[in-house]
Amino acid sequence: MRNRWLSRWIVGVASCLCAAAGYGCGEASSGSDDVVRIAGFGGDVTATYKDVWWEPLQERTGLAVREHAPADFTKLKTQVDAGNIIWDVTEIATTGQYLQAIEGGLVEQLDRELLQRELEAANAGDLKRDFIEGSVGTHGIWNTPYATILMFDKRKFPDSGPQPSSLDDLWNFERFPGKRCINSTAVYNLEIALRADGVPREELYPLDVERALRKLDELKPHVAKFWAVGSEPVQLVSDGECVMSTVWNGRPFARSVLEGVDYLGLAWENGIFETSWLAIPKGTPNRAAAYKALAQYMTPETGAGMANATGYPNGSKRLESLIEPEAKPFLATNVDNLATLTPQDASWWLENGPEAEETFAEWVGG
Amino acid sequence: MGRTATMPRAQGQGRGLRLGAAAGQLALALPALTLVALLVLAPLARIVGTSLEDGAGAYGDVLASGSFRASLRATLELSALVTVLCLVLAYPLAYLLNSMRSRRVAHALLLGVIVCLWISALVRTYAWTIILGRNGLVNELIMAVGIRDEPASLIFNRFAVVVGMTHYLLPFMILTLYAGMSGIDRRLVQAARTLGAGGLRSFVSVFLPLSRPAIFAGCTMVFVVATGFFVMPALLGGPQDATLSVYIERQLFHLEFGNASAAALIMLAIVSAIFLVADRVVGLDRLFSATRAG
Repeated sequence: MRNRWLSRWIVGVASCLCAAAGYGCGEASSGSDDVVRIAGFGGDVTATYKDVWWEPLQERTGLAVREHAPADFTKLKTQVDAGNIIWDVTEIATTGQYLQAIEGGLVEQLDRELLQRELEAANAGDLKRDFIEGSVGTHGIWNTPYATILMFDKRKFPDSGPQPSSLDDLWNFERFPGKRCINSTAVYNLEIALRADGVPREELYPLDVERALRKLDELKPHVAKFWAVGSEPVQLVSDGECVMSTVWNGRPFARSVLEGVDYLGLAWENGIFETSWLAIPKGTPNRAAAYKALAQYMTPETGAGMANATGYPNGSKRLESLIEPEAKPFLATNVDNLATLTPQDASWWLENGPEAEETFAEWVGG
Repeated sequence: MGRTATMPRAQGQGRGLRLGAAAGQLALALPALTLVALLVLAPLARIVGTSLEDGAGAYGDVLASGSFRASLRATLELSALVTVLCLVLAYPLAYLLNSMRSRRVAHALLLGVIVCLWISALVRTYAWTIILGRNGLVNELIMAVGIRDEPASLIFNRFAVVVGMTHYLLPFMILTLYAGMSGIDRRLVQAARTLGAGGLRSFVSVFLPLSRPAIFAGCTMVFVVATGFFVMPALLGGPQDATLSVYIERQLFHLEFGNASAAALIMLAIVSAIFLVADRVVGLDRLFSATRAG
């Protein structure tokens, strides 16, 4: 009797452990032709992926997408290090991380011939002609080009009076009194501070971190909150916690155009232009499917669908006629906006990012 | 005291033990031991390995980092303050729950405490932003009554973090104290009363010392849980309230796995040291006999 109980215990525990292990490992072996596993950051953007990227992909190729959220750079590294790949395509949040992923051997180098063939099959255009310069890298493609810009409260600064017109106005305390909110990391602040301190755009790099912090010292007493999550700025301004905040451009787009909120004003001058990336984790068993998914993402229809629903397009040059007029002013790739933005030099951030972030974190907490 | 209280029970179970039964007992413990070994010790060993990947370099980096020291200080200060506040708030309630004549009322109140545990930390965090915000409930009240003309800064500072964390951790303290107190023999208090001690005297000299293991159990529990808080310091706090979890998350984000592991292990060492000191002061077996009594 007792022995049978004992063996049942052991079988029970063993099967629990196998189930737990299988949760992680079982997926790795599912290298199949009809499923592609895509890791996104979740939220509104991923909801839009379903409509404008994954459904057309399945209609055209029969590939079903299994969604993994949230994409996480840390998890990407642990997967590759452990040789246990559970994503076929992953989002990477910044160009700095994208370069870091290349350096660390975490992502596949793109086979341009294969990609070109898939682009033709998806009717997405020609690799040389139809994509913004730089939007197809050696190891990935632009996911959502975006900008860190200024958002202000029109209830405090109405159309009838003076309104902030540049990120420099974060420092204009007399004309635009009230609390400010800025991001809690260096990568979304240093270029803004240096531009406001009068450094010409072409002389920004290498960044003078000390000078940027001196400029930010002036701002600090006026900061209500150093935000960290993308949804915070709109909430903080709506709640009146601050009169202006830096923000990623898709958030006010969603709030203003899609939800009809009318009190959020924007200023683009001296904001920072950046992009997230889509890449293929090194060693994925579903390489062919991953290329099909990337090619589908690069179609003008998907890019325009993304832009119209989230404010973030793709790298295609053929979107113009497909984008809704009310979405245009909110896009970072809109020429008028792009001309006023500072394109971030990711190679500087790859080299100096960790040290700059540590210095910045000490400054924030000090 | 704890040891003598537990011994008879152990002997009672041990009476008539045979070798086969001993093996059976080991078998009963085996699943739990296996799980602990696989899910706690093995990952911990890996974290130790990761932290030592380039010698002691990660420890040097972390200990030299100003933001690490600031976050460590914030973590310890916050945890200590929240523990004291929880104790002060929970003790009278736990005492009351234990002294109630009506078990039904006591259990209903206890259920209320437990229900609080079911609400997620994230939901509570957002609730506090609504209550404490510039245009929040408290500020509206302050301005309506005319105490101030301008909204007070009640959020994005240490005050908000302490309020949020105390609110979250209070049930842990109440339940631990309640369990510990219910094991106290109330006849001892009665004896003190019959010997002429007043209500206050009998409480201070008899009940309070007897409840000391429960106090230590509750404080250790709340303190240790508090050291791991992430969401509330990140969302309710200001720049000075970045806790160690926030620091570790930032290190992971920059793929500094060694630094993150080293920071986690330094924290583990500190918490273990605190635990051992508590052991020296009261004795861990007492601590657990206090919780087991419930």
